[in-house]
Amino acid sequence: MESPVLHRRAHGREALIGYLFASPVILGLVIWVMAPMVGSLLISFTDWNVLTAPRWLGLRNYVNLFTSDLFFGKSLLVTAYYVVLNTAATFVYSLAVALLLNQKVKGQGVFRSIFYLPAIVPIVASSALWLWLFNPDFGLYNQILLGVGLKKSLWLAGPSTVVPSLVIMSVWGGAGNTIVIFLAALQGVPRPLLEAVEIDGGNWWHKFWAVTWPMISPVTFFNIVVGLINSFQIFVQSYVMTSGGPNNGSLFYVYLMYREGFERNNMGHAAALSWILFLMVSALGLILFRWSREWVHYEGAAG
Amino acid sequence: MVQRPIPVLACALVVSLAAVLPVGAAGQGESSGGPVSLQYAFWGDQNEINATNAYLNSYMAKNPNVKIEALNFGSNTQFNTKVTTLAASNSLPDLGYFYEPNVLTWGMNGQFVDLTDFYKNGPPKLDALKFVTPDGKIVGVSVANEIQVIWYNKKTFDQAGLPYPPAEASKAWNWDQFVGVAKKLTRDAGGKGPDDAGFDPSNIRSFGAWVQNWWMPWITLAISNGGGFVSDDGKTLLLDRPETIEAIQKIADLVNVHHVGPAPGTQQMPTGAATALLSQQVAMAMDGTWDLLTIGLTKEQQGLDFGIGVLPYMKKLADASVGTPIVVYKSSKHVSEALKLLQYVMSPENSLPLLQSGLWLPNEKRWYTDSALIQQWTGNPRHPPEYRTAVVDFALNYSHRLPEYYVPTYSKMDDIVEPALQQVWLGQKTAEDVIKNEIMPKITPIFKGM
Amino acid sequence: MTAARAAGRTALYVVLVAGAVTCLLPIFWQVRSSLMTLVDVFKFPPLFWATHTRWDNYAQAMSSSPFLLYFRNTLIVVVPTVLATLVTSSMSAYGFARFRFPGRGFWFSMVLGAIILPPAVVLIPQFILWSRLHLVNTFYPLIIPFWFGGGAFNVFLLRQFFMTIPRDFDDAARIDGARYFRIYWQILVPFIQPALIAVGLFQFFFQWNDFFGPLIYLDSPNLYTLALGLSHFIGSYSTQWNILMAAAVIVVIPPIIVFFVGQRYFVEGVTLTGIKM
Repeated sequence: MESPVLHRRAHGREALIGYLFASPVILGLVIWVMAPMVGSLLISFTDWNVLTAPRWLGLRNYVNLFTSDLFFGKSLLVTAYYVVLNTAATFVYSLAVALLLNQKVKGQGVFRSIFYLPAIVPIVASSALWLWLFNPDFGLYNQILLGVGLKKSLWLAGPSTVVPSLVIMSVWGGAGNTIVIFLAALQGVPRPLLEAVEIDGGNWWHKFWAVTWPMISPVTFFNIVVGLINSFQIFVQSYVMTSGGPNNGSLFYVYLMYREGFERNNMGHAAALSWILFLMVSALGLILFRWSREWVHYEGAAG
Repeated sequence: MVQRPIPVLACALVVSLAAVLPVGAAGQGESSGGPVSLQYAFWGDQNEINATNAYLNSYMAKNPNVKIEALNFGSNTQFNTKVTTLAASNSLPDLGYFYEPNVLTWGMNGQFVDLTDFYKNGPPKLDALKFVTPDGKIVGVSVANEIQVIWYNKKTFDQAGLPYPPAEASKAWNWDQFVGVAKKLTRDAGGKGPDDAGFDPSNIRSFGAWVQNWWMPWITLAISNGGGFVSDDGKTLLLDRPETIEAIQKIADLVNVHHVGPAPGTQQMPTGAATALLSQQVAMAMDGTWDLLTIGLTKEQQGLDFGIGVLPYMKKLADASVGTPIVVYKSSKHVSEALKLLQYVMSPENSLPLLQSGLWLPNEKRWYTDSALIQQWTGNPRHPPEYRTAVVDFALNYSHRLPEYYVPTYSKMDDIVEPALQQVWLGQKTAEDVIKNEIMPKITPIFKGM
Repeated sequence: MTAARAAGRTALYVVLVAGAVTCLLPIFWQVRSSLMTLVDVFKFPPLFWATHTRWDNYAQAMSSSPFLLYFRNTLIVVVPTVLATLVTSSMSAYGFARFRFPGRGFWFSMVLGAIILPPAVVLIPQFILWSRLHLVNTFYPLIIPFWFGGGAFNVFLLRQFFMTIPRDFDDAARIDGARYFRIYWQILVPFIQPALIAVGLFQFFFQWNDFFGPLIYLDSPNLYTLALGLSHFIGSYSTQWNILMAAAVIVVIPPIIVFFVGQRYFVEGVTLTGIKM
């Protein structure tokens, strides 16, 4: 049993060293995140068109959002739809692929590179590419649909098909990172545990649920959280491919913010939008973290 | 637990206030004589970059004390991000292109030098190209004029045994004639046309007429039908006039009723007119005169035998002009030098390569009336013989001014109009329904709020 | 091998190949378009391969932009950034995973907040900050922030990974007399090697393809990176899609090589197996 004095000193020293290790990100947070965020909060209380001095408005921007803004509601709906669909699809696809790639197969490296490849293609080029692939009259995908006896789809040109189309493109291009993270986690699942299940007569299904799933749960949680958050940020596709259409069917939140701030020069309004987004996503994050305590299993938690 | 963070937060607050303390600073007068450094902002693809550098270099050769830094901002949409961040940090360029939808709002905020007196001198510019604030100040004039024409592939017409679209205003087709011809040129995978039995609209291989869904074509055709978007004096909305509604419906019917046009969409046919014509996916394309550059190149390099026709009319002949303006920023430290450069760039004789390439049309009236001048920019193989009547004369006589030139609330209204009209283009709702019930209630307060 | 196992393995291969083909289809489309004339690209019914293979599209792509310059600029941005990220994010993650200090909960929730933060929120204030420091139109705004934690995302990720390592290892090393830094550097970092490689790769690809940052901070064309240069192929009036695709293929080759090399270390770097609980 250590003496109380020794214990306390160790605690103080531990704290200092902990701070030192964590200092790069803490400093970074203050300079690049917190200060600018306070700045943007202040801007959200003003009417600022970048060209003239800001005019104090108090909470008026926020009130306007909920009462007179013509796009806020639609944008939230459309974004929520995309976020849910995209997160679910990416998660399922990535985990499935990672499980497959984790098996010993010939040409493993080649397969892994192939599945990751879409994530490396510059988004400018892939947006151009998919625009054509999705073209209702002459694009490849409608030809494939017709070829298997289905009807043509409007894809990006239809108000109800635009979000699913973008999800397909996003899963193709964005799953790479999630697959890699899942793979890293799967690599860390202890062999003996898996073998123990085998010895007990279990098949791959049992192995997965009894051992793999709990072991990778911190990473699973991470991927869900990051997946949700990243999905909220969707922007380039609206910007390059659809301009928020058709009929605002892809008027995603960050695109709306960008348009308000940079094209309509309504910075205060845009800043208010961004803070609402931030609050919503924070709330979501908090809920998720609470929920995670039920099922996420840490081996080496610092407590 | 939160003790330590509080002083940090206080610092953050101070830093952020310092970082964010806003702008509003204007230019500080003139510096006299001596070497002058100007920043000229523009955008465009490699052609335009080369041509711009060429005329800037020749200006610098004639004015050795001026150094011009050409800032290429990528595209007109990337321009917004750039110029906003530059404004926020008080480092706007001296002069240059500006994104059309925002010209009036920035102008009314006092960001641009008032060019009304500047344009009183010298050869008159086309009126349709002047960006004018409601109190009558000219804040910019389009550096180039662009109207719309019918581009077509002669081979497609020859194969169908049809006469080419007329290139003279006096012989222009009316809308029904236009649709009739388009139908004869539309073929599905089985070679059938829209009027033939067994026509399959979901399997069309070549379309007769491609009219795009953005505001230039529909406002033009609405004007042609006797309507429009905003009256010329800027005081009345014309969107809900029966003539406007009818025009919009007729455009939508091209796709949904007559099946002569490709599926609507915000980025339909990314091929562009040149390739669409060459591949015979489209027989006639209603598009801007800026296409001459690519269509001309496509002819020279790939043998596209193209022709130019005048727009069809609904009730009267009409076309419209667009063109990016060059503005001079009030925050510039060298306004008089910037104005000299503006004079140079705005003069068609200094941008002849761009005019001759087909990308630009001149911004001065006399270049459409004086034969010698006309010869200078159209007397080359790139400009086909019918260009004279189909473009030069048509632009001079029938081009109208578009709302972005004189209605400051235009882009705000368009945010509502454009998405709502997409339902019409898709055939989901009628023009009358959408315009009367969805659009007008929302844009009327915006319009009046000005 | 039993019949069931053989069937299972065949099914595995079939699924993998089907998935790979689906993944590759758009990329194949990109490559085939990069070797065609513009008309062939859009020909209908679609062509599988060029009628006349135009290798000169690549020459044209390279000559119409100063590719080597852009390549150099991109490296200038990418290399320091990836290094900075690996070092500072793992250090920071270690701090959060293994130490108790006052305000730790607060700062970690700030890290999470930073992940959530849409970049557009802080764009203007950050830009103003850099322009007050007179560092706009340099590479610094693109590199320096990564020396401060290398991105909240990476800190979070690595912290999660650190937390999967049982404390027994730390304790064992401490009993052997190792100090904190040693524990970090020699014991724990090797454990999370797969994750570190993943982080390094992510950062590399992100920086390689980032065009928004360069758009905002780089004014002079001689500073442009590859991603920014690529966006200039999309013209306001017309786009040469085949040349754009060729340019995009050129831009994508270095990252492909990097990934192919990096992913092998994944497999070799595993040490968590064989642990007795």
